[in-house]
Amino acid sequence: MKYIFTLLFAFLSIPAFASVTVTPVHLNIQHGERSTFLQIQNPADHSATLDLRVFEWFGQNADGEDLLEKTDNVILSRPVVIVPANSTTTVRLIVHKRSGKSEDSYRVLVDDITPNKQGIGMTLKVNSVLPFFILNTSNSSGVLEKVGQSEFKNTGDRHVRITYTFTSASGDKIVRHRYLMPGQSIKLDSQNVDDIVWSDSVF
Amino acid sequence: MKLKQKLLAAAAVLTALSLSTAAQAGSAAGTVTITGTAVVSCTLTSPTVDFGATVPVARGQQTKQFTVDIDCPTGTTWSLGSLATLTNITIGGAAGNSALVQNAAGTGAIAGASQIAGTGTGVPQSQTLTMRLLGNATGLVGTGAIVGSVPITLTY
Repeated sequence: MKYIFTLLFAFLSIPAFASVTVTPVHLNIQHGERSTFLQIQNPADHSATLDLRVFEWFGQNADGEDLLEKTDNVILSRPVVIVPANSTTTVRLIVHKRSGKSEDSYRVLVDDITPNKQGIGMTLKVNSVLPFFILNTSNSSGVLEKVGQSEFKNTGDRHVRITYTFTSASGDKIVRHRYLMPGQSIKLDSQNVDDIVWSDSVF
Repeated sequence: MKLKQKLLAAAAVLTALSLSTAAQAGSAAGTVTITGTAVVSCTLTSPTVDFGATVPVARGQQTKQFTVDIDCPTGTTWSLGSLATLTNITIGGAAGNSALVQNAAGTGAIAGASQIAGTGTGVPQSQTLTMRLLGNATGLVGTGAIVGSVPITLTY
């Protein structure tokens, strides 16, 4: 019985925290629309402070890291929001300027900057990085073509999202996701790639 | 039509719209017609990582494994990463300590090409990670409770 109480105490003393949730995680503005919105839900019993930023997105490097630049093409209705405990709030994203391209690509960064609570150990602060696409035509598409033995290129005029899996040297199945903007290509080690799935949908 | 029937009809339409944006398999050229917008969100649940009330006498680096649960709808792609950037951690009121999140084995960062990635299945997917506490050149600083937070990024 003593051990049961000890175990019960151990579980109770290490609570799990659900992160702030952003909805949707794939943002888009269709041709003819001027704005969209992001819902932020805070399931915690204390308020959350979030810092929102929008960057122009030029694709990803070989390691999958985003290539970003500051922009004022998109306006956020509130760049910093405080979401009360167990509450939901909405932030609007408004198009200020469109390019002449079929699709404009952005990343929306949602950083949790809530001040630390004292006396509760080490916690994670979950930041979100969301894709945000603005479609400037009604009939564009991304097209993935194989252009070499292990090279794939987006020959369309909209982004393509690729998911591929490969087996590591230790035998583990590894999953990777990559975005290819129009005209961009990716070289994969085809000997190790087990499967490739791609889509140009914006959900 | 009763309200319940209307709601069921609306749900059926939304489901059809969300299913109409199917992924393309293989490397052949193809297009996807956008006919609807599915509202998708994911939840990450993480524990408080407890290093105990006091810093061990040795004051060396401290590591602890923990598990996070990522709950995404089926087909939603996600990547989990943590920059090598360290955060000030307070121990017994003393700053000057730092922390980072590493892979399950505690052997490397989960940044760039080493990010952990997956595709949502509709049920929570568990990932084991390691939190590492570091101090300054002489080790951890302070003598009291270990308190702080480390940023982690969920990329879609």
